[in-house]
Amino acid sequence: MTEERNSKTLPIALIGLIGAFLTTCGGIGSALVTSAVTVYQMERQQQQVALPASQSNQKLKVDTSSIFITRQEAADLDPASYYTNLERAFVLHRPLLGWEKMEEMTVREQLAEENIPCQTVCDQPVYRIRNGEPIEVESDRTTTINGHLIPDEILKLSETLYGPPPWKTPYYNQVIVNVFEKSEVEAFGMRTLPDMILFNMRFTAGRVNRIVARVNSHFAIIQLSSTYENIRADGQPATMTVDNWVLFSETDRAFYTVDIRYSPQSGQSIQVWDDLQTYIDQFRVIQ
Amino acid sequence: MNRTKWKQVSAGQLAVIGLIGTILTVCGGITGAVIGGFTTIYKVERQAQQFGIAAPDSNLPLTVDTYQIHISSSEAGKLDPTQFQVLTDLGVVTAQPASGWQDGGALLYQDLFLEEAVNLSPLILFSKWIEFSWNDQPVRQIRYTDPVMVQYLEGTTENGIPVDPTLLDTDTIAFYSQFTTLALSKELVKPVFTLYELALAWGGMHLGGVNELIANPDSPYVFEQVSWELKGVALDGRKTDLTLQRWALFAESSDRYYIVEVQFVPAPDQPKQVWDDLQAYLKAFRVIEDK
Repeated sequence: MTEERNSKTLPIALIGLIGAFLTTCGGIGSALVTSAVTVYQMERQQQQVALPASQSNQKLKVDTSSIFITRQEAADLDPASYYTNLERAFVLHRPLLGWEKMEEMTVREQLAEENIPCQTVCDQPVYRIRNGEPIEVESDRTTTINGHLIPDEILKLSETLYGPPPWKTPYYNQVIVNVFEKSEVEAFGMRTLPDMILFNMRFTAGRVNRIVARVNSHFAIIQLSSTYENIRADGQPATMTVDNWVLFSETDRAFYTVDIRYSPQSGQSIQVWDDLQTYIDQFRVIQ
Repeated sequence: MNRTKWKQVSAGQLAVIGLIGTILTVCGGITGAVIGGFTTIYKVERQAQQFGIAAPDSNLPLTVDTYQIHISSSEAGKLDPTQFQVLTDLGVVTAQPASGWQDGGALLYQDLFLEEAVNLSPLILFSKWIEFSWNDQPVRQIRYTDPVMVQYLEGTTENGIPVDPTLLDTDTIAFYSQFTTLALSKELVKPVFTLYELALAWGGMHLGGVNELIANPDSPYVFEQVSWELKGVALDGRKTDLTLQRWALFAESSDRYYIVEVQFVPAPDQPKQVWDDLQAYLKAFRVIEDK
């Protein structure tokens, strides 16, 4: 009777041992999985940058892990959806439904649209996609930006360029890609990516909310907001906010800026915002 | 007899099996804890956001831990006064000046303009935008007492721009390694600058010589490194080139912005301690903020 009981106890103990072994493996395994997930999460969070505008819930997200692609990857992209410029080494999503066709011009031509004479980097290329009709904004000496009067030097410049106030300026929701060949812009003090950022951000006057520029990352993102008061928009007294996100990047040969400009308007489709997010999501620099 | 033996053997086996089970469970627990520990260390390291920026062509990185810039006033009060000084007028903590260094005492922004025959801090260039409005903002400056005397010659260039020595009050100027802290009232500054625009403006003063601009997503600080090149100057009567290295940290509290400017002037016979001291000043820098 006792022998029989003992002979049953041993298999039970072995089963218990297997159970303990499985528990151990399970514990270690789940610790490893949890750890791997945490590391993955941390790494992804480090790569994904979401920058909200100052008075808005809308965050423009940029996945900085995928900004750079190879020539082969670029060549494999569907040309119906993507504009791939192998010479300038970048990829931009083609205009989405409701957007104007992409315009190619030079910095000189772009500035000439606003009567501004070009002084530096005039022949560098510009690629622009705009959405629908612009908002015609009239400003004058009483107009404020982010609660402050426009600085005198800017007022004087406006008078020189456009004559006496009111000044009319069209505002578009748009994406603009600038490519600056390093060999062309070095002479103007743009030697490094930080130089490039500083050159482009000279006249921001209280508008920069955030800069993200990580160590050795070859990119930076800047978010700016401007709230204009004492203006007329499409002929009506108005207050208007314009949000900008600017992505700066570089290769050995060139600097790139992608400028997203968005002005939320009542009655405007949320699709415009989603489309801008698509343009920045799909922008690639070919390395 | 056989029955007793069987009992003994099986009891021994059962005990061994139980022991193995216990060992496995203990090992599993310890391994789990080790993995968890390493993950936590990894997380902490990532969050610490400690980075060092070396000047180009140099092995000397200046390190700043942007995760630990703030300190409460009670923590500040507990710091060893032989090592740290709590500057209540600026709302910051800095290290006590090391041997060979001098604390300039409580200064104002306007004092930065008044020195003669001395290389002035680029902070004065903000006056282009703010004119005299920052004049009463507090400044603290710790300076290495032995300057590098730089003589401007015909043909000298400063960041590529020719300097005419005949237009200077004196052709020989003292360049100091120094650690300068400027505290700015947000109320005063905000119409013109955000924290990031202070950084952009300071960097813009060094356009063409900006080597690094760092702003981590979860950290509202900016750190910049720039070079300032003097070509065709004379040191101790010998014609040479000299590159100053500057770092700037831009931080904030609820009511103030801070610009911490570190200037290192390399000289052939200068002790390495000068560099180590500058690093120690930046490492000790804290903004006092009670939440």
